[in-house]
Amino acid sequence: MTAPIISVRSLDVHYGSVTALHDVSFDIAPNEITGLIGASGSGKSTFLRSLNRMLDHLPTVRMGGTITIGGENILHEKTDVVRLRRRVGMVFQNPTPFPKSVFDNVAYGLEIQGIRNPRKSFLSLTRLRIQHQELEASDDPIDQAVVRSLKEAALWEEVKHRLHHSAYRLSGGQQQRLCIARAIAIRPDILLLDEPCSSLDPLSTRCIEQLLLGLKKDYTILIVTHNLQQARRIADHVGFFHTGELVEFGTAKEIFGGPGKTLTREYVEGAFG
Amino acid sequence: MEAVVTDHPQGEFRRRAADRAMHWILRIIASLTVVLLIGIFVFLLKSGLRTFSEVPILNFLFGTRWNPSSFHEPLWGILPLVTGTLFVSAGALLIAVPFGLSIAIYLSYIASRRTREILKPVIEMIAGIPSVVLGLIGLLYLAPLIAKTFGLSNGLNALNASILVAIATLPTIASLCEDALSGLSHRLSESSWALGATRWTTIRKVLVPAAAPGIGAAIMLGLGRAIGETMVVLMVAGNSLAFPRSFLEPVRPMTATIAIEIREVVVGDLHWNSLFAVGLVLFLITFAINSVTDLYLHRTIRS
Ligand SMILES: Nc1ncnc2c1ncn2[C@@H]1O[C@H](COP(=O)(O)OP(=O)(O)OP(=O)(O)O)[C@@H](O)[C@H]1O
Ligand SMILES: [Mg+2]
Repeated sequence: MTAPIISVRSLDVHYGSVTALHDVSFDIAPNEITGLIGASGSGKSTFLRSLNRMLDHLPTVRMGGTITIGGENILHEKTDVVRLRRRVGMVFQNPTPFPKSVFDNVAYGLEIQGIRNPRKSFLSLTRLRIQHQELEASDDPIDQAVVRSLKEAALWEEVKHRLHHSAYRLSGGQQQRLCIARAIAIRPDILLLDEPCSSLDPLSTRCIEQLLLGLKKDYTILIVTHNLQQARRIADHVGFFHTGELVEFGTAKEIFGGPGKTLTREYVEGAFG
Repeated sequence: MEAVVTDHPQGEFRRRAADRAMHWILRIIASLTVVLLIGIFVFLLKSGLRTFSEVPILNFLFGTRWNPSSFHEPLWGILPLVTGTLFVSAGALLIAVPFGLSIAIYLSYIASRRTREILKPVIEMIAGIPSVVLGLIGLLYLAPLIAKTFGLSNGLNALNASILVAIATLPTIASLCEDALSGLSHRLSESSWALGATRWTTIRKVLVPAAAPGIGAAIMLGLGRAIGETMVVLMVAGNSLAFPRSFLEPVRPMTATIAIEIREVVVGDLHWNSLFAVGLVLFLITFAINSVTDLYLHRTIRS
């Protein structure tokens, strides 16, 4: 196995008096898709949110153990959270585009780093028509990043004629791919996805799965899913969570083809969850 | 599906009749507001329009001097009054919008729940201060302060009125902005943080723009309130008919003019009618503001 990009050791997470994760330890290899499965409330989202310190925003959360990303313990209090989140992107369960144009949505992550958006629209009143040919030929860093991200997110062909439209006018599946484009526009190393397909139809789901398989050469992907078929289809490694503990971690083949632990076998065979 | 089982047909009939009666009563009450609006408009129109048989409408709207009681040469230009209204309400918004929005941001994203629960009712209580009390504060405290700060002989001017009208509109603006901001999904904030945005960047670049329609409506409603405010401007705006050039000059907005002069005129004469015409202009301005707000809201909701 290549050197892990993420190493988790004895991770504990408590919400006040509730223990959401207990003694979780495992390594994640770069440029792989890691699927995280488990019943509702087993701590999958909590785990994902530890990786980009999203739990900082909840006052009652306490965390213990270490998470090492790129050689640095990101749970250390001196960690620059803003920098961390530029390296570890996240996509949420429901599509959450900003009430901005398609273009501005993707440009946002770069804009907040102080890069000037050449196609700023003012209070959504002056929505400039953006010509896609002009955009593809542009050498402005934001223009280039937007085009690249939309192409990588397999959305470019569908939106290139309406980049200036509000993102809310896209379909649910398109909005979710827009959120992926928005996350990869700032070129993170790691992409966290928390049930990204749970509000989508089978076709959009398939589209996003294809997209993730294409993205894994550039990004390390962690995906939480309740859809075991999905994990089987796209994941290289799978982690099974149960009541806050990582019960088993192995290749997708191992987990789905006759796992070592009874609990895991029962879960993947649909006995509970 | 069928949660309510009808016990016997007579009960069912009675319930339906009551239902229908209620439906009609509400419908009538609702249409009364429309009748009321039209009635007020017609009332203003009837007296107001008579003015223009004697005063050309352009002289009325764009004349720069208002002096109806002059014996030799009465003048009917409302521009100084309109400018007075504009000065006071624009000044008020210039103060109330930054403050109101800051309060709203603080309440919805920064304050602890306890602070919010104390502060919000306090701010809403400001709305309950009678404007005559605000006017008194302006006369007694603000006027001397303004006079001293700017070296004026007295502090009754557009600035004084702006500050007080700002206080009067602050609760409206703050509380409507707060509604707009706290109505936003928490997911918007999270998505922004996840991209490496700080809390402040998120507020500035995602949350406030997302709440823009609501904030816009809050400002417009505040503006409507500011334009219609009478008592405060009557007491502290300085009551001068000279064409205002700066915020430190006394002004006499439209509302104050109507309130002052209506007591001195003969019912039904030209001066009486002209005051209704001023009221008509006031009405049309507020109506236009409301319509623009509505249009803007619909436009942004659709897109
Ligand atoms: N903000 C919170 N405050 C308190 N407890 C929380 C909070 N978020 C999660 N929990 C608790 O932590 C545990 C793990 O929750 P988590 O959301 O990580 O589960 P999950 O595996 O993602 O579930 P699901 O599949 O339903 O999304 C649960 O017992 C949950 O009740
Ligand atoms: Mg979850």
